[in-house]
Amino acid sequence: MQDRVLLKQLKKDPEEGMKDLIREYAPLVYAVVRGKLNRSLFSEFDIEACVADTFSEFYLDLDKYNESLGSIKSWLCVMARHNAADLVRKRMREGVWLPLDEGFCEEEGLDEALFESELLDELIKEVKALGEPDSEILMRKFYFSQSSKEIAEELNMTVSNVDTRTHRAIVKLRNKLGGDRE
Amino acid sequence: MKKRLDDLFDEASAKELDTLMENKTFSAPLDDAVLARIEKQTLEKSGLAAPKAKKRIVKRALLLAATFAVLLAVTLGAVACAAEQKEYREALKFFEEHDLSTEGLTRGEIKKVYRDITLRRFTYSKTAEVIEKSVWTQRLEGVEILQNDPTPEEIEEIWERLLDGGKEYIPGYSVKADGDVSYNNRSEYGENEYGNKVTTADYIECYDGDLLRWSLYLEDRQCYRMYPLNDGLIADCYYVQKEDAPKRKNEECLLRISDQGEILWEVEFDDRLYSSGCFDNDDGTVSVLMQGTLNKKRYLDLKVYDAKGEVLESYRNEITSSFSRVSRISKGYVLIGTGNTICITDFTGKVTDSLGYASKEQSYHINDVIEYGGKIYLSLDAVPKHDGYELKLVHDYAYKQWNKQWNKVDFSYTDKKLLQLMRDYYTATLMVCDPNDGVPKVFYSQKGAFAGKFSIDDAGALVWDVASIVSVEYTPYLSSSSFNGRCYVYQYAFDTDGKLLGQKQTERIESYWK
Repeated sequence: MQDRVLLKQLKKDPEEGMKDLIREYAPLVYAVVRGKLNRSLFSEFDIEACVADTFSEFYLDLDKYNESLGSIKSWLCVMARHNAADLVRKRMREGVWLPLDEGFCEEEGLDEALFESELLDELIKEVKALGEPDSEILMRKFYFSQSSKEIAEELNMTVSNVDTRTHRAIVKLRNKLGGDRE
Repeated sequence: MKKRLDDLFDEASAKELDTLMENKTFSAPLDDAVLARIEKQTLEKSGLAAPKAKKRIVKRALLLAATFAVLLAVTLGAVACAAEQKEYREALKFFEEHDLSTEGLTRGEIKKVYRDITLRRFTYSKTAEVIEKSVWTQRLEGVEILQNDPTPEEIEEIWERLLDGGKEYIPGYSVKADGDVSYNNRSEYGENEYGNKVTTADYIECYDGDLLRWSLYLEDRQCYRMYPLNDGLIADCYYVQKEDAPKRKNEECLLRISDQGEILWEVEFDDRLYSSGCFDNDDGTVSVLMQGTLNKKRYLDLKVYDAKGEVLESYRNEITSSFSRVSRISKGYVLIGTGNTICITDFTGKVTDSLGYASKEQSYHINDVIEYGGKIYLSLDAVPKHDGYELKLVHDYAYKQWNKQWNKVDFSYTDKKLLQLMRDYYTATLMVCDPNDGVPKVFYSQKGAFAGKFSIDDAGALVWDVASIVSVEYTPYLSSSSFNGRCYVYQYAFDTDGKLLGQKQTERIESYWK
């Protein structure tokens, strides 16, 4: 459904509009939140609550939504990512043990790919310029925290192919942007 | 400033994400039940859910409750008469098994004490006398400490304080220092250009009881953790990017703050490491332990800073896993890990020993470690697991009950059963470990409570804090926790041989979030 139609529906009939919005984007927002919240430490309920928070905040601040600053889809992703990060930080403050730095990146030896943070704009362009399926693999791996196995299944590839492409993509980015291995 | 790719993506704007996600579909498969739950929660949180008919439900509930109460009273009356003899025999057996004295008690009093203990009411006056006489004076090993449950009046008092927004609940993240002094990190929030909630100002405040002694505005920084010292604190902060700043800056730093609220020194450190413990060396220097992953290896850094923030000593050692807390002992440090394990290091951070405790049926969360009388004591929460999850039964019950409420605007649920379930789940456990054999053993346990901190009192006794759960509230709308409540804090004192010297209920009331 187009953003404009969704917005119109939200304003005309908020309840039905919200249902449409959720049906359209809940799987995406859920994927973003799940990628950020470690499954062994956050329950299914935490994830669902965080997703609901995101949609609710979007609706309650609907007048602040500006189409020129991004699509609803991406707007929701940013909000979901912030909410999930906020939840992680709160849990840490409460003394809950989080496996810091123990994500998939470390397992697969990719955490050594570091980039200058002020180069974010260029990085986005370079990731895009990698072309498919590499840019999608990087997004899935580093934004949605999907494992190589999950990516392989979604993109109909082998796990080793995903890993090889990831590695090469990182090397390409590093060469272009001057990222290093510490 | 270098960052990992996944951290960098966190900073991407909606516009930038549009570029990356153009013509692609990213989603997680959701079944209808999950979708329905998300929809329901969202509509309620957004104030869009239509309320149901209240009066009819209430009337029906009252009618059912009244009918049930009459049936229950009749049934229980009959059963009680028939079982009097049996109950008395059981009571006597219970007294014998638990080494309780029946001296000076009538037949009726014996039964009342028995009921009072087994039903965990602890409201009968004779119960305390019996327990005091028979239990507290003995040395107990590996046994459960019987502690009074909160009385209905005490629970009422807690709730009143909660409803009044009592003074002791200062918003923000707090750490306790000596005496009544505590440090509180308070944030102010606003919105960024995308309408997202962001922190606009961050403060560290010092309270003496309820009295604010000073407040320090953290310019361009946000506090992440605080470590109290003898005369002030160390704050682990990170820099916040300002809109008009020429480049992104997000390094972490340590601030040494005096007990008067002045910044004495500041050091920046590698963002791949983060602080995990700071200790006062009582000579003006401070030891700071940091951990992090470098080149696929995890390291523990230990640095000693002088009064000006200059590094006097610096050590780096490889460790096998992350740790969440650290305590100092006579031989070095104890790293409290994430998998029921602790590692002991020397004063250079080199691991010299590791200890572990595991059980299939329950999880253990180590809350504090202390070395006392040549042994290492662990303060842990023991939590049973169901289907691999902690608190599953509490979650299931709470969600079911909360979902029945017609008015979810209140956003919370509580009842006696929920409190009992919560209490059943948590057992404050004290373990002792002889460094020679390396195996921790359960020493004391207290049901219905969280294990707290250790301290040494003026007489040199080991004091173990135990927070007895007296209230619980299910708050599914609070994204940071599902359950919160209050606890009464009790203290148990032990001598160097591990003999229980006594217990007392303190004036302290603590909040918890789970």
